[in-house]
Amino acid sequence: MLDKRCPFIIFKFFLLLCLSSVLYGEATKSVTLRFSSMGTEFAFIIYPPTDGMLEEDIRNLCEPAIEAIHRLEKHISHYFPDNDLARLNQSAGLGAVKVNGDLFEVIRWSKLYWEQTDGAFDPTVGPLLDLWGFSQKNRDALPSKEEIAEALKKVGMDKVKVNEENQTVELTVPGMRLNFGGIGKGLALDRAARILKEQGIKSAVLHAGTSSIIALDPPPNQTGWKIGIRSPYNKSEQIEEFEICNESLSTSSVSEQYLERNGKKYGHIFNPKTGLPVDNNIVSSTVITKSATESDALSTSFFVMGIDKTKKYCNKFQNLKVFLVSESNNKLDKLYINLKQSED
Amino acid sequence: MKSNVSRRNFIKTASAATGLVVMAGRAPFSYAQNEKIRVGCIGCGGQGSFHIKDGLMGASDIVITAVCDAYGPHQKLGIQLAQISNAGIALEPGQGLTEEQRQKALAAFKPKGYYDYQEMLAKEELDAVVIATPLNMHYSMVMDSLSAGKYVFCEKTMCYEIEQARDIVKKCHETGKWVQVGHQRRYNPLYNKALMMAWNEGTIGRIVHIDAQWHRNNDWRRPINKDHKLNSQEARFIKDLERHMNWRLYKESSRGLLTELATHQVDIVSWFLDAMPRRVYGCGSLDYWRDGREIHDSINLIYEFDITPENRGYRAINARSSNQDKIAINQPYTVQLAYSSITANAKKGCNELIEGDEGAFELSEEGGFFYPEATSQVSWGESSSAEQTATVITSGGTLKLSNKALQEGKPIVVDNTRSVDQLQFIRFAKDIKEGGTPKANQMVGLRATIMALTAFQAIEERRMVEIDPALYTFDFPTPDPSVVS
Repeated sequence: MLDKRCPFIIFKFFLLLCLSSVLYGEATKSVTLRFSSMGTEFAFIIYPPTDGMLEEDIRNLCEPAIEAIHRLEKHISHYFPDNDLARLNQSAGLGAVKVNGDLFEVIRWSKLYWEQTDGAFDPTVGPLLDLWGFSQKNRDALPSKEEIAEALKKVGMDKVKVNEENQTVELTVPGMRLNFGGIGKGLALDRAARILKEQGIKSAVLHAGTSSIIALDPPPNQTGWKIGIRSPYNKSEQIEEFEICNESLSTSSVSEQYLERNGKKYGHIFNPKTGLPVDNNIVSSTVITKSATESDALSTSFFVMGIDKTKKYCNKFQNLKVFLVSESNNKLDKLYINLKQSED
Repeated sequence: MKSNVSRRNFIKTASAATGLVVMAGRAPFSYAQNEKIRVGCIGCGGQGSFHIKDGLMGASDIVITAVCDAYGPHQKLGIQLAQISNAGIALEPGQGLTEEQRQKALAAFKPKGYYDYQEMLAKEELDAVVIATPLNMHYSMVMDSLSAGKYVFCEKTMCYEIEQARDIVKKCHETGKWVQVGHQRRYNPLYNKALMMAWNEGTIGRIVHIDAQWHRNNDWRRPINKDHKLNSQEARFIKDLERHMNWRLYKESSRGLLTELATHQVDIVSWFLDAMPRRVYGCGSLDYWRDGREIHDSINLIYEFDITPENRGYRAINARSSNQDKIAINQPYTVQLAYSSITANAKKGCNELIEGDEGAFELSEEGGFFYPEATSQVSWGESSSAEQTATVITSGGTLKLSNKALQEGKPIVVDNTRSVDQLQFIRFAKDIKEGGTPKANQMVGLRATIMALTAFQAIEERRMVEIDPALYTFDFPTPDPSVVS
């Protein structure tokens, strides 16, 4: 039954429509803020929370988040020769060292994912990278079994002792070292996203070198942020697309960094147990989950674990969405876990 | 006697040696393509002899037909170098002439030497003079040369007093000649390219500040031959050999670091901003080299330039913050130049850092770099709903930092196959022959003189000195002080 209020309700409905088109319609522009940190380029793509904001207003709004990333970088990045991480690495084999809170936190997260992935995630693989010539272009030949065995003595989070009470860390074997390239960017994005929310930003997506991404609310009138997945063999080719909203997405891909020895390519992701570059046909691993720290750590881990172990892991931790790409006979096979293949 | 360096005499020698033809050519455009400009060099000391063996040697349109120096050994050296220069022989440092070069030099025109520049002006048929003498001598030499109908190259700083520099501008207007001043950076391709990047491309955005310095660590003295006995000719002009040779160190002949070093760089700033400073603050002292010198061995200056849309160095900006007044931000603004020159530490060397809101140029005679601003870059998306539905990021392996090279400074690449000294004298000859206006013309010389001497006044009187635009304003047309090429 239509009552007398009907025209008024219709008017209110149109008013709401008009208002939403003003707020989220053609006039709404995203703004991208880029800066360098952790050896890569970070970008925040945001929809300004209020109208009329200009460059410096955006910068001021985002500055606390940028500062948080730089602060974290200063303590956990291996690019600094004299930071807490450098001092910890230099003290390997010399006893426990009291470390900064940021460094302590990333070590704790690393321990957690090392345990959950049964050692697939391991930030101590540095000696293997050295041995194979990834960190320094200092050798052309493949390492011998003996050399690998010797390097493996310095690998393993079980050799890292953490004292929660004193906030101390000990690398128990001389020559050990930690490198948080597989988790630091995720932790940085988690922190930045939290700060941006506190700053009143609702709709945003943040990425670190495109490998780690965290999304807040979607763009106006959308259900999520559309994230493409690059072909591991061709940066300009997109092989899949997912939509994320208040989630994180990380991708590990073997093709971006590799060495070529005797006509064979060796990727930079290592199996910490064998000391060999991962060679299980996985060429790209994407993880979508709530936290960028987690997606960052697990995308590398699943690369190491391969398809079967990844499936088991996902049965145990059901909040995960995973997209694995493997290669056989020059053909890419795609595996979707808790994800749907996009429509072409 | 009217010149053994007459046109006829020179043609005979030069034609035999090089096959070139020389004509009188006193007015622009009356020179044939292969004619040479006859130059008399006044002052053959450090800078004068450098010009002879480098800049003038490299300018194939120039022949040195006379040299003048009140100090006999310098005059003799000047004649030798000029003959080598006339033969087109580039002297390599520390190396003598080969026999072939020696023969070629002997066949080249040998200029006559003079102690008295007025005698040289009276006796020689010259198109132009090159003056590289102590600062306090510039004025009379330039004025007499202009009166004699010569084009003039004068070492910087143009004058010891501002009024002298104004007289020279007036004399140029009266005679129709001009003065090119030795602000050689104006002929440096690097500085020209950077200027074009700043003005035309906005590479560094709005220039907001400039840091420049010339820091060296030596006593700035020239050695004296204490055994040298002045002959009667020398004694007419030289009373004290130490003061004559080390003229840069004494107030009667120089304004020290201001006129001999700072003026180069302050001129560059004025060029980039296309403006004169409105005021200058300065302090200076003589603390380290207490060896009888009188000029400062340490100076610090602040110049303030008021920039308006009439200045080519002006650049409008977009509002960056909603707090900014969108009209006021593009009203006239002020740019400060912070300058220092010291003589007992060379760590910072000699360069100019021209700082804009989007990047900076670091320029020196050794090379230049562009540094983009390292702050976060903000870019706006298109106002389109399509944007909101597009793929925003494609994820893959971590992309490596692409702007590392920029953070370390991107070299500004220019053709530097010729020395800047050669370029300034090639242009000197070209402007004489073609009726051009020097880039470092007498107005540039006047303005640099004003900037140096008002700073000297600020230091001496320990106060801020206002620079009155009337000092560089005339009631007749004057050359553009901001010519670029």
